[in-house]
Amino acid sequence: MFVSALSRNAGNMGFTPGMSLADIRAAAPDMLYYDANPMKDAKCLRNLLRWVSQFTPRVARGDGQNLYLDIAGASHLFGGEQTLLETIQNQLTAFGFTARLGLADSKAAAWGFAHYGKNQSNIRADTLQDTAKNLPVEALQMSHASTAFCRRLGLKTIEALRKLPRATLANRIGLDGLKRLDQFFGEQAEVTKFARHKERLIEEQQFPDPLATNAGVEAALETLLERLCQRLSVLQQGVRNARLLLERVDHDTIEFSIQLVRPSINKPMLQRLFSHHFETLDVGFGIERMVLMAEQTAPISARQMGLNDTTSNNHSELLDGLINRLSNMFGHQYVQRFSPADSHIPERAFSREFALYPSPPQSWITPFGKRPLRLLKKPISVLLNDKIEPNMPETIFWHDRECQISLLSGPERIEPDWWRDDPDWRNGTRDYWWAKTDFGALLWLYRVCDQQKTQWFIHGLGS
Amino acid sequence: MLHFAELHTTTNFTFLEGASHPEDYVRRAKELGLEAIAITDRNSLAGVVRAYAEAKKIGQRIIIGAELLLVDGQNLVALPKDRNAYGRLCRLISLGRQRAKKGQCLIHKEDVLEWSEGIIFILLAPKELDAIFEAQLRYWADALKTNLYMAAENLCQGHDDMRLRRLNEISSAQNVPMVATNHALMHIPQNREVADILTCIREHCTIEEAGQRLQKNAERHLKNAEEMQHLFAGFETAIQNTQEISRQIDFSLAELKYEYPDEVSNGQEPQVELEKLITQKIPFHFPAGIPEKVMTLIKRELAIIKELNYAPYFLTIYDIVKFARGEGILCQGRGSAANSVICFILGITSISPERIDMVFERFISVERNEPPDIDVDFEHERREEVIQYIYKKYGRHRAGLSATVICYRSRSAIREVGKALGLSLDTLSSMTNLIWGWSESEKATSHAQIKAAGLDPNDKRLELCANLTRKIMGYPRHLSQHVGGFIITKSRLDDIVPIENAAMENRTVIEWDKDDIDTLGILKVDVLGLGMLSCIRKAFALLKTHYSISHTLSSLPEDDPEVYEMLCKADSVGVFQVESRAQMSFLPRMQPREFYDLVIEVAIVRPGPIQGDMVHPYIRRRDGIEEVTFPSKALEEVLGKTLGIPLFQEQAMRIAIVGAGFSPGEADQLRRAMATFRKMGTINSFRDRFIKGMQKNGYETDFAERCFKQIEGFGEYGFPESHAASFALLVYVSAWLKCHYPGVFACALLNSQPMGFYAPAQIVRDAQEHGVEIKPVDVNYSQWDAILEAGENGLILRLGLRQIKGLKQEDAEWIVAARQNGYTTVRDLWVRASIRPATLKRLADADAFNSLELSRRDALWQASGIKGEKPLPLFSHAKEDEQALDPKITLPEMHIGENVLQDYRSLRMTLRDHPLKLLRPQFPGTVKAKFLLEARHKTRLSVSGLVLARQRPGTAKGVIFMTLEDEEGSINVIIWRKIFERFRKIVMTARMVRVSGVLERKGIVTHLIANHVTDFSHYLEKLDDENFLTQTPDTTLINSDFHPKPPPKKHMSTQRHPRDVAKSLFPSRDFH
Repeated sequence: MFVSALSRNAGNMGFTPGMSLADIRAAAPDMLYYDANPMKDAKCLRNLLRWVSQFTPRVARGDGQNLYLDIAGASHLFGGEQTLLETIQNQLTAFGFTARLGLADSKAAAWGFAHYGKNQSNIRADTLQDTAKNLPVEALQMSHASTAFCRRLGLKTIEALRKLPRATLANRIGLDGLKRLDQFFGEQAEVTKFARHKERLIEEQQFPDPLATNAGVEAALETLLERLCQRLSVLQQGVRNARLLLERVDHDTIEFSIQLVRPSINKPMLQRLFSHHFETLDVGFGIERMVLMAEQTAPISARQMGLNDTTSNNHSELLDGLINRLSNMFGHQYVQRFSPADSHIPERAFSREFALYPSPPQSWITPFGKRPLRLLKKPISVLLNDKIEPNMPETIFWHDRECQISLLSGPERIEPDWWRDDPDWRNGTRDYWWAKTDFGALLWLYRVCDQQKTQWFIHGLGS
Repeated sequence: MLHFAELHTTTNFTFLEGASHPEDYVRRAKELGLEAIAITDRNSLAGVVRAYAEAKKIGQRIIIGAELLLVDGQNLVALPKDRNAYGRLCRLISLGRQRAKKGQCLIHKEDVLEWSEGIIFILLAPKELDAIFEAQLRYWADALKTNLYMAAENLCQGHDDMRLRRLNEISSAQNVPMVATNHALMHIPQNREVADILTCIREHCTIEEAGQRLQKNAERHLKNAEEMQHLFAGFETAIQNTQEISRQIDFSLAELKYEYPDEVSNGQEPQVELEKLITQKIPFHFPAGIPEKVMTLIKRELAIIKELNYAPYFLTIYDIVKFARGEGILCQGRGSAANSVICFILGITSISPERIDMVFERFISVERNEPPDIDVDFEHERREEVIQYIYKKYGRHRAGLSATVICYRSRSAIREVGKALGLSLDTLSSMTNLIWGWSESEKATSHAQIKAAGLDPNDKRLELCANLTRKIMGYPRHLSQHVGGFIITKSRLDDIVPIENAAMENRTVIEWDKDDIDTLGILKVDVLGLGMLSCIRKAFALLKTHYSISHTLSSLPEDDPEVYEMLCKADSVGVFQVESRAQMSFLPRMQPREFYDLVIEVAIVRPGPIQGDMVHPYIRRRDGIEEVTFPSKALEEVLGKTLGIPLFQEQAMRIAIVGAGFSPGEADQLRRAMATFRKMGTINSFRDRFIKGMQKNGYETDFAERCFKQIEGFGEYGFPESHAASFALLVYVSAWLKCHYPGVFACALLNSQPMGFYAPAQIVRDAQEHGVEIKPVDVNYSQWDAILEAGENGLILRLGLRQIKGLKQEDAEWIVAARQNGYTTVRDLWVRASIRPATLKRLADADAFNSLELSRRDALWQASGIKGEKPLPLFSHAKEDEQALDPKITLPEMHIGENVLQDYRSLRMTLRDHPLKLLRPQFPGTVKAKFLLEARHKTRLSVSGLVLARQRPGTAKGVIFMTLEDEEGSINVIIWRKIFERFRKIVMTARMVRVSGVLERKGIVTHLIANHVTDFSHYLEKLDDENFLTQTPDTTLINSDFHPKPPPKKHMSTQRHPRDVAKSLFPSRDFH
């Protein structure tokens, strides 16, 4: 594990990002540390980007943890440039962020001052030349090789670089390097891709005459769905999650959401999934506004119909339908399916997952021994007759009933996973047998032995 | 009662699969009372000799064989019935292996049929007993007739009964008898964990991911007849068949007869040829006539050689040495048989019989009929020529290099086990650092240590990792080639042992290592490379060129007092063998004054004598503090030369013979028992016998125990006297060169790198201290190698272009070739020598344009102005083109710190100031190296320096020896275990440290006993910060950040820990 970021205090102790955690802990055992979460960081930056868009609509994300704001024409709304900088700084500080700000006429210069200048530098065009003098060459964001090269030549500041004849410089740091220099001083434009607001997949409708019946709501939903699916099909997207808001005249809002196992724009199906909820719908004095939002969408792949396996395709579609219905009816956490897992231990040879969120399909590995169709969650101890028969029991007690069994095959010897301490397997090696009872049931039994006694358990039932 | 023989076992010589040593199998088989056990590794016979040796020792019958995995996936166990069939199996495996890359084997079923005569095959049944299997069975049954069997296992898989019944049906239908086996993967079920971990390592997965690739249960272990009978109830014939097969087999490795190659004797009787050669060569060595004493010796040696029929061996070695001499390759023999007059006369060794006593028959004893041992060292740079000569002369089917079995050692084991257990990479690297030098004796890793490495001591996984690591340490991982042990045979070698391709091109290797070869009594010629020989040859050549003096190894003036004077002062950087820290601190105490002192010096500073506590008594007796006494008259003869203290390997052996009443054969067994498998417990039986034997002969128990302890040490590290003598000659020669021609010596050393204990930086520095003027690398003066050039006050050593990191020899040669009257601009090199701009920049970084009056930066500026890999043809003659018109600019000058840092970056050394000199103002209160020479015993002081080396000898019980270097010299630091535990991390990883402690002085030898160690590595990075170097030191905070705040943000990927930067610039040599 390596450090991706650290607090100011940790930095002051001489640690830097990129060091290994173990090294740091060896030096400072009490240091607190948390797992980095780049996904969460990215999300946070996206949210911040949205937040800063209150100051100007032209905002953009840069590399790493940089945000750019084009405040041309916007600063006077916030009391001028300096006040704007302070406002942003104060609010970010209040949120708990450490931020460094730079303001200049070019994007490159603003970056350079934010990173290597005084915090909240506000550089006017006429002072740029002067103030930029002592910034290190790193502030130019040239390629790594070019920066290193400048350092090697002792050209440590922007000024030192600027003093050199352009033609010779171009030979060394390349046109790209020169471009960065020009961009810094605003002599060459730099293209910024400002964030575009994503198309919001929301359909809404106001009803001057509030809808007073479920049927009316159904009809209105159909229209909304029609419009939403229309837009989605253009985007080649399907609904994974959708939410429906119903605003009643008494300003109460009723909310329904549906989830689908596979993205879809199948209107009747979506309608059905929503209408299932309408059973509990109380329209009160009427619904005056309906909002339908596609909260999560995913590309729909037009599925290839097999030539002769229409049945199987159909089968999987039907299964999807069932999963959608059941999951939305009972809640997705209650509808699960099995998926294969790789282990000799019977209990670990499968895993459960939410049917609505399937993992990529895997094939089941057939173990060398036969496995039962039903595996008991907790093996049932079966008391044998008083006499201890370590090998072949003929009678067992099951459900308070004595039954005769005959062993069919076995043993299949399975040893516990030695690297983990599984409470269920503390008894050690199990010998599994298949047996048939006198009333016809197929049992999967196992035997564990310790020094004193032999115990038998039923672990599964076959058919 | 049925008897059972296990005919299918997989040992850990089926690498990363088998989970037990072959020896373990054999011993377990004996415990279980198995009739026989077959060792059948996959497409390999690599483990059989070990099994054979063990079997012979404990009296267990073993069967030699291999499991053949064919290209089409079929699997057969092959068990040769007799010697000829064994030869065919070897040929078959050699064939498959030489077709494939190293470690792989491609055998087709047709190949099997071609070489199948006399071999019993057992076909393994696949998971599915389908029609394909039946067809395959039919194929083999038709071809092999009665030599085919079919394997059957009962491994508790769930439906074994059904499967056995089915196999039985097939067996009777096809008339192929069934054989019961366990397809053993381990000798006892407890090794399942090991088998699983090996599976993970092999499959590159973690234990969680491995799933069904792991063992479901531990049934694949050895079982006794009773258990087998239980498992195969109803199929008892399958068990009987194992016995039947075992009785058909009549082959043992004892039958392998080794025969010497005979073409070296010119069609004569080898003995006659040898005697003829000796007669011819005597006048050359003894122009004044041969002394009577020597003549007697020759006669006696020849008689022994004749009796043991060793003449072909001597002739073989003579032939190789003759080739080397003819090519001008310097060489020298050593080893047990090398110290004979005959070897001297044949030119194999250079130590004349007048110089030391010849002890020939002590090694070649008549009763032990084992091959004599002569190792020949060649110049390391030219050894390949010798190797290819041997291949050419004898052919690849008759000559092969012996293998070396690469086994898991602590580091490699912990890495791979940790990975398999899913430990993260940084946890692993911390663990690895932690177990640096984890020896057998120091197995436990304390919680405190784990915690100090920044890990959680309560983590169960770490404990599991540590335990498993210990288990797989010593497991073979792959075969590699031995450094130079050649096996040469009269008939085909691949009839004795399979031969495979080595990783290195043009090399073929047999599957057995040197112990295996020893066990079977096969001749080995060691063709070794020795860096010092290259160095000496180069030095002799320089002497001839610059001083017109010709010398050979044996022609230098003997016993030159100046040379010994120098050695007594421990002034021995670069001198062969005696340049190590331990040797250097011993030299002043030893005070060598004659050649034999050097022989002792070489032998005494070895783990054997140190462990046996022989060093101090010897010195006391030598200094006359202690009286020289002998425990008995008999031992006086053995120990006379070494003042009653056993120092050489053969003395220890002789004590066992003379003192404890061992037979020579037993004594040798004892030595071997020590060398291999210390853990197996056989040593104790020897120990008791030894001590009892000594007591019986009237020796004191204390003395007996000390002797035994020393033999223990000798097993692995001891020097026989003859080895020591051969090495001592090289010590003398190199010391003589260093003493009289330090410039020549340094030059030759630099040109033979990498070799020896010291890096070029230290060699150069030492030369400077001996008054040699050193000039930096320069494109107008340097060659690839360092050279001597004429200066105002004699010869000057000019560093070679080879010192420049990353510069190719080819480029350097072009620079020299196209130099003419010198280069005047950087562009010249590009135009005339076609040096690419990237290489020009390297040269600029190395500050190699001094003669052009260009600084590093100026040169770099010019180099970087050149575009294009090569000049365009049109401009190549034009004096000026567009690019040449670069305006002159002024770049900031580099300050000394930057220059020094850049020197290290590019050349790994500097001729400017030592980094410590620049940093010294930052380290108030620390003293310099020379101060230590004057300081009194027990003075408290602090030093700081670059870490040159750290050593943790196994003999020193957890003590670390650290060598520091500052601007005035080197400083020896001793860190006791307790202090080491406290500063473990710093001690093991820092590149620059400050050490506070107490000075220990013995004569001119000083050591600093550390109390406190501080990591100063981060200062090295600050060398290029001029402000930092001139500021007054901040004494309060060592770790404080010197950057103006906030620290400039760099790109993530470039950020490294300061110590890593230091590590690449100032590497230390670590030994353990």
